[in-house]
Amino acid sequence: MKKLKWLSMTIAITLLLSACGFSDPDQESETSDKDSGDGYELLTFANPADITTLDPQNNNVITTSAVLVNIYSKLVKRDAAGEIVPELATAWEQVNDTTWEFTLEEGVTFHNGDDLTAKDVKFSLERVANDDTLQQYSVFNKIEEVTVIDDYTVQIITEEPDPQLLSRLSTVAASIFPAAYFEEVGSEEFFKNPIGTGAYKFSKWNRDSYVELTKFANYFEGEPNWESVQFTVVPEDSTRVAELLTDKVDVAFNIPTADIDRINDNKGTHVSLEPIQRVIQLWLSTEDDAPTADPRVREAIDLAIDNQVIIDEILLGAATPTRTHVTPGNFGADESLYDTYEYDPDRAKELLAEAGYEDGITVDISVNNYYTEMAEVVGGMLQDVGITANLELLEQSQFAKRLFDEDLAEGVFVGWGNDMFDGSVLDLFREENVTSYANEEVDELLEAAAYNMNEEKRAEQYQQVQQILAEDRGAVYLFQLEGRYGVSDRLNYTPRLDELYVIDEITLNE
Amino acid sequence: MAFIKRSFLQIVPTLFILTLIVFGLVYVAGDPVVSMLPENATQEDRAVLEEALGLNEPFYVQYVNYIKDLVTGNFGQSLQYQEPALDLVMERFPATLVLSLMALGVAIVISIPLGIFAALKRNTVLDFLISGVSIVGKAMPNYWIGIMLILFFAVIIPIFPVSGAESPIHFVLPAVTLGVALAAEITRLIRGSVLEVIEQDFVQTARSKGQKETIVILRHVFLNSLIPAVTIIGLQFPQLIGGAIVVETVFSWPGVGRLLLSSIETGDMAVVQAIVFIIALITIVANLLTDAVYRILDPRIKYK
Repeated sequence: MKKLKWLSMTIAITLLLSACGFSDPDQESETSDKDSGDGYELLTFANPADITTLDPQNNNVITTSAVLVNIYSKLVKRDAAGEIVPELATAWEQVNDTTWEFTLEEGVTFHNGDDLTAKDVKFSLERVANDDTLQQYSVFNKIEEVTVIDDYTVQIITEEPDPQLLSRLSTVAASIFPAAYFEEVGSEEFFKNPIGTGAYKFSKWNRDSYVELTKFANYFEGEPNWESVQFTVVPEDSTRVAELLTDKVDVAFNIPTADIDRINDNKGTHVSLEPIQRVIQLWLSTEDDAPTADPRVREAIDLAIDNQVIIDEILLGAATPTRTHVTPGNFGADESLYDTYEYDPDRAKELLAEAGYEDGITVDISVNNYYTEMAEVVGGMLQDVGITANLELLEQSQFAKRLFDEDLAEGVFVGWGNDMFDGSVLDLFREENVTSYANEEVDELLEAAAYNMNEEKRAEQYQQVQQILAEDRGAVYLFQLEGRYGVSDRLNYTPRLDELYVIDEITLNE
Repeated sequence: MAFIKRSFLQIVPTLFILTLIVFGLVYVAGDPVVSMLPENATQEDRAVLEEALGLNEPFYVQYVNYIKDLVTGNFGQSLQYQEPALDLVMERFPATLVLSLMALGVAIVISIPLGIFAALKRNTVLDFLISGVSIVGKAMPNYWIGIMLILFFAVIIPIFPVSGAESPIHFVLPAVTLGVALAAEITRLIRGSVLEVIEQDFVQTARSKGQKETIVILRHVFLNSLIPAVTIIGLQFPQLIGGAIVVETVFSWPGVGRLLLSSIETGDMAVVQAIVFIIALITIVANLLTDAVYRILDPRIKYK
């Protein structure tokens, strides 16, 4: 009897397992894909993190914006080259320093069939400009009012002259919602099933699994390419790579440098490396009691670091050395400071001696868990010229908090982005900011540039600031990172500088 | 009845102290507002958002408010997702629970036969082999086992899907990964206790009565050697849920572990609290169940 029981159990388990095998939905959908259609049925991405929300105005994470950009449209957008071009607005002009007038595209419909009018623009922009609980409020709160002139004309009035207004309006947070429907159902209900004017409609969000979008055939810029798009969540790096290698996803974002060769060697996949907005840099305290207050010491630190060695050894080439934060593609970039670096360890030792530190110095450097490895290599390089770097390793959330509280060591090793694609990112070095750097000339230039509506002069002001910072080592800039995308060979895809997935920029390779 | 009443009296203060500890740890660990604001935000922006979210209150005020809500069954609102914390957790909990139960199943199916077998063949090559493998199994981090299983059984020999949770076949690799360490532990335990029981007088008696060896082993030896195994399984089940945090990340499993991880990183207090609270409840329930199963297995055990 006992034997019979065991036997029947074994058979049951075998049956169960084989039943599972036959009902694998992946295999079924895969064969049906290949049997029919032109290849544009389904595009899949593997992201390290899930989207956090469907509300573009209450979000601060690029991986979320990267998905939402396909659902909603803004007045203006950035094209693949980073230039601001029309989206819902066909034209715009500046009426005076604080008033901008936008003419809207006519005949645009939302996913629910509503027509887009100036009222929707007023509602959407005033929501983010007025609601201080929204995460993007601080970016838009300088908008005083949005006035409806007629159905297809709006004026945006800012409190002060704002040369960055178009940059703000081109971010995903400036998305336009259907006002009447939004107000009818309320924000909670609206974002359960959001409506926009984008090329793809929201279809499904299985948390921590995937987000699915489907084609919006009435898209105002013409019928989109893909039938449906899935953004799956695969947090573990090596798993994400495995999904790509087994042909389960088309694009895998943020792959480890160690896997670049493996993906390139695999038949049917390759790695695409494209610059992203993040610049790795070392901020050095200029407060009186710190040895780094002496510009010679800061220069010595800069000269002791061989940027290219870090790029080659740790990032396997996926970065570009820079001496400025405002890299090409950003407003006011000084390209003479890009793709270059200074390395001269002998001169570094001389400078230390001149500053009176023949016997060497010790510098404490705070770094978060993302960049620990790079910071350790920098520490080794500094040691070679007689600077002992004590690394303080912090978990990112702790690092962010202490940074905000200005409670970090005299050296801070950070990777910093530039959401606005603008020289104003240098405001970091303005008086009363997270860096301790103080320079009156820099303060004046940054203050002037913040309200300067003359583009040419404004760009010059930022270029001057970059030259001063490079000379003075307000920060020691190391390199601009590149995004690492594993891509299926069936796609023709160039990842964007802003890391957004604009789906219709991706086509099949014929 | 008295047993249940006493347990309840222990549970409530335990949970209360637990909420205080977790609240304190999350409060110290991170500032949710910082991660919610754009990189270039100013101190002013931060103050505005803190006030809007009620996070500018001192620690004890926040904690008292939290407890007031908790007593009425309200776990609070997630800052990261702008949704009730408990909904977020309950949405993901079934996936974690199923994974843990599957892993437990894997562990039991592997370990019981191996443990008995090793004991019966004590001091043979097979015994040494089984004991050796189970030590290795316990020593390997499940993170690494998971990656290796994906490499061999999903990439090199594509039998199983790499990750995800869409169909039953997606369960196999994660359940094995999570179950291996527990299987190793139970194998060694069963082996040890079978060896102990097999020497007892009542086993000798059964044999001398002329019962078949299979019956002796299954009825007399096996059942009696289960008691320590049940203890370990009962104590380990909550730990399996802990281990699921790692395994869920490796296999993109949409469970509560990953939610916990991201909530800790962003300082999302309400969600962390809700998860820890539920895991604590499961631990307590698992312990109570273990006690109950004892009584069934061994009628000599009585509670006063």
